[in-house]
Amino acid sequence: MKSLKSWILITVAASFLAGCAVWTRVDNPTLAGPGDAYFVDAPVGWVQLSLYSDGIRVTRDGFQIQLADVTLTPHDKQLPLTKKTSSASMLPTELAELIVAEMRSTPAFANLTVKETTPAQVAGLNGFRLIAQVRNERGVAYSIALYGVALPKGRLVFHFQAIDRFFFQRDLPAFEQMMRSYRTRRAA
Amino acid sequence: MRRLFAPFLMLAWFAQPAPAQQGPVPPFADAESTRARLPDEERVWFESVDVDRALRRSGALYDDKALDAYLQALLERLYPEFKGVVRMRVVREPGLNAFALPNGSLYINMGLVARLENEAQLATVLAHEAAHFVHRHSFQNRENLKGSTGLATVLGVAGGVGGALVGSLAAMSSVYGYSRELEREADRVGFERIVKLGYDWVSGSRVFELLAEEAKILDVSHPVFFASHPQLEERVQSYRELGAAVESKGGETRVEVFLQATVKTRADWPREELARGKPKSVIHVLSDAARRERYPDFRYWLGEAYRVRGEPGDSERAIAELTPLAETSPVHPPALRTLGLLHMKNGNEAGAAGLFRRYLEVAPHAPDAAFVKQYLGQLEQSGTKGEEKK
Repeated sequence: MKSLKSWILITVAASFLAGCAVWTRVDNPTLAGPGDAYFVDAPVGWVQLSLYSDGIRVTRDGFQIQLADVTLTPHDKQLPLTKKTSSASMLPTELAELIVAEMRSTPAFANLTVKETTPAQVAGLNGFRLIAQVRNERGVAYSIALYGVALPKGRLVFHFQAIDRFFFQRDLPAFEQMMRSYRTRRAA
Repeated sequence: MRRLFAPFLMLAWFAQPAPAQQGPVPPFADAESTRARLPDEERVWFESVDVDRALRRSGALYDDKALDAYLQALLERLYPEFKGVVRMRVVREPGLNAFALPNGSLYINMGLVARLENEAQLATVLAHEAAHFVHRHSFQNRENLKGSTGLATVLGVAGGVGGALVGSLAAMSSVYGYSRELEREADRVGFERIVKLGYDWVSGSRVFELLAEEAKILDVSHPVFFASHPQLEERVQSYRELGAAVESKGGETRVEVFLQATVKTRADWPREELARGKPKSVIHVLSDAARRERYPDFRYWLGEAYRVRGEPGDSERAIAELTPLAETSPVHPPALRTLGLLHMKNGNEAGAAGLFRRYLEVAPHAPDAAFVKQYLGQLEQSGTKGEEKK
């Protein structure tokens, strides 16, 4: 009986997923941002959430385990909660402050603890690298790595979060490699 | 899996027929009486235990053991017969909020503690909230929430409460306020308790005026009870009516004891507000000459708040607040850094470079020293280019 129920559930889920192709396995590493505004090389074998329209979002084991995303948002587009905007002249510390304030304004990240913020080269410009930690209501610790920079056409943010135990350290290099692969033209 | 089905379970819970309970529910008489719970109340009680656990595990609680002990002692003085059942905890949230869960857990935001002026005001808030528990208002209110409007309200506001509380019905009514009748009952019971302990009820009830004033300025959507201007105005009116029937005026405020026990909270509060990109409250409170002296380092935080807000004229306001701190001895390192940033943004490169150099001298190992070095390098490079052009 139990296996029949599971089979029905799987069949129903598969028919839904097949129709909208929400998940796409990354076989060709080059992924394009919205409007082909930028390209990154995602880790092969990870899975992309195709429905994510703000940028690129990938995971290896599931979004509750780890997720990495890339967004390039026009400066004049307000952040949803703090209603702040950015500008091309923003210093890296100012942009980091803006992004962290927005994260802390969401209930799930209200208790975000920033561990360190350091200068970093992002898209070839002076940006920031930030490491933070947050716990969910079950006490599971997630670590977060953020890279950001104010580009002339918008704020570029690379975000990676994973369960702190094991997954964060294991997958951080893959995320950082993806961050370093950022470019505005598809590789020849 | 439980998580997946949680919304459906919640809807099913709403769809249940009303409990068999008839007539008003009598208040708990003391700690012992809380063991005799109605069957439906038992579920609400254990749901509250889940909320307690979630808040603790998620790191939502403010870490100040001395403050916890002070608040717990005050709560037990207000409701001595509930010692062992009522528990006081502080939430690491800068906003205006306090709430009681149906199991006797009371929470107050560090931001609310930081806004109060004396112990009489704190006692007024705690006495009011604990009255909701003693009179079992969550359980009574649950019936009202079962209607479609109640359901829509609860689900509509859930997103603003806090990750750990989302979807928790036990916490909802206490966070957003009860019916007018139940709030008035909590006013009456709370008022009696503070008068009995000899607190100055006039000063105590001023807490609602203070908060109403701030709530009006903040004008938040979906305001929680202590940030809701209309609900706070009702409290002001209600306490005036209760006070009119009491002959005694005056009493204790215990300002010194309160200020000593809560000094860390007032020191941390502006940082928590600004870390969430919310400078409005900080500017409102710290611009008030009558209040700001109680806040450690108020001049720095006011300057920071102006910088974070960034409205026209704010840069000049921030510089005016911070400059004296850069000229005092011992010097204030964060003020040097913030001033440097402000001057850099204003195009005063030489001024900014000088401030950054001094910052690195006095705080060479500051967490943001690497950034300041980078900015200083940019300014020096720009200065060299300027010299070359000449």
